[in-house]
Amino acid sequence: MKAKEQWVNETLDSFEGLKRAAADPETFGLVMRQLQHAEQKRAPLSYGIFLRIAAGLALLITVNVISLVYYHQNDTLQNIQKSLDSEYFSYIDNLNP
Amino acid sequence: MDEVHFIERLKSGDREAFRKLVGEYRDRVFNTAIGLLQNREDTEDVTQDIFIGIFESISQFRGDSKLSTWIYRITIQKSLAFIRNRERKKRTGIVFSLFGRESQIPLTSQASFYHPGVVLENKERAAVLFGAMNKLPENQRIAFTLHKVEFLSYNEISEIMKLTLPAVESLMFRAKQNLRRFLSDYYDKNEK
Repeated sequence: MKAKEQWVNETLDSFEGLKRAAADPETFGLVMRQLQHAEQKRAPLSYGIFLRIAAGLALLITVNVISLVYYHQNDTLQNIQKSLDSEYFSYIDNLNP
Repeated sequence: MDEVHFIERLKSGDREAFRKLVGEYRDRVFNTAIGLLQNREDTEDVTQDIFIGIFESISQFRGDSKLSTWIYRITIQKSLAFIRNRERKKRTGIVFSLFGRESQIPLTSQASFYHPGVVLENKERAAVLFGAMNKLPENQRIAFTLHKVEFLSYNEISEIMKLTLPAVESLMFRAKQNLRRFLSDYYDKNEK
């Protein structure tokens, strides 16, 4: 019983003479790197990236417009062709009742 | 440089002032955190998080307490948040292991902790005491760590924990009682 009590008391006193644990001396540098990294993540798009995105969008729009115009022209030509064909064949039909 | 002027420089984003702050407080923050976390690698990560938190929230510091008090409070908050997160992961790991998935919790978290500042002849006993501290209720653990590991007075602890002096004295008394009980049980199981 005494041995146990002594052991418990000595264990409770085992922090006697404890010295403060030392942090990494590079803590400031490590913290600043993390802060800079976080800042870069939050940074708005750079002007160069913005120009590239704008150029890409402009190209996409231009291609679409050209396609639409081409399709519309094609469509119009086809309609004209159909209407000519239809007139021709109805003319032929009229000639040969 | 008086504290008010120093705080104004910190609030203005003065990097040199922040460097000085880190230099002055890093061991205090680290030592307090390691007393609670009992793992060097975790403490290094948390210490950096603490100083990032200080940098980002210094503008909100109202000056109604000492700067050191405020820093200790952030240290305790972040350390306890880390511990809770670690415990949650441990519980998830146990559940996963029941379903045949490997636990992600490293075994080192279960090993004895050797504080680097302990006197060599007390190393083993101190490791047992740190283990017993893990079983204390949170407030008792904080008070005991601040007093015995970080060498703060009861007055300083009462400011940090926003408690009256008698409340801190009561916490310390109950902490020691509980630790005696845990150590007695440990002795019965391991030292007989």
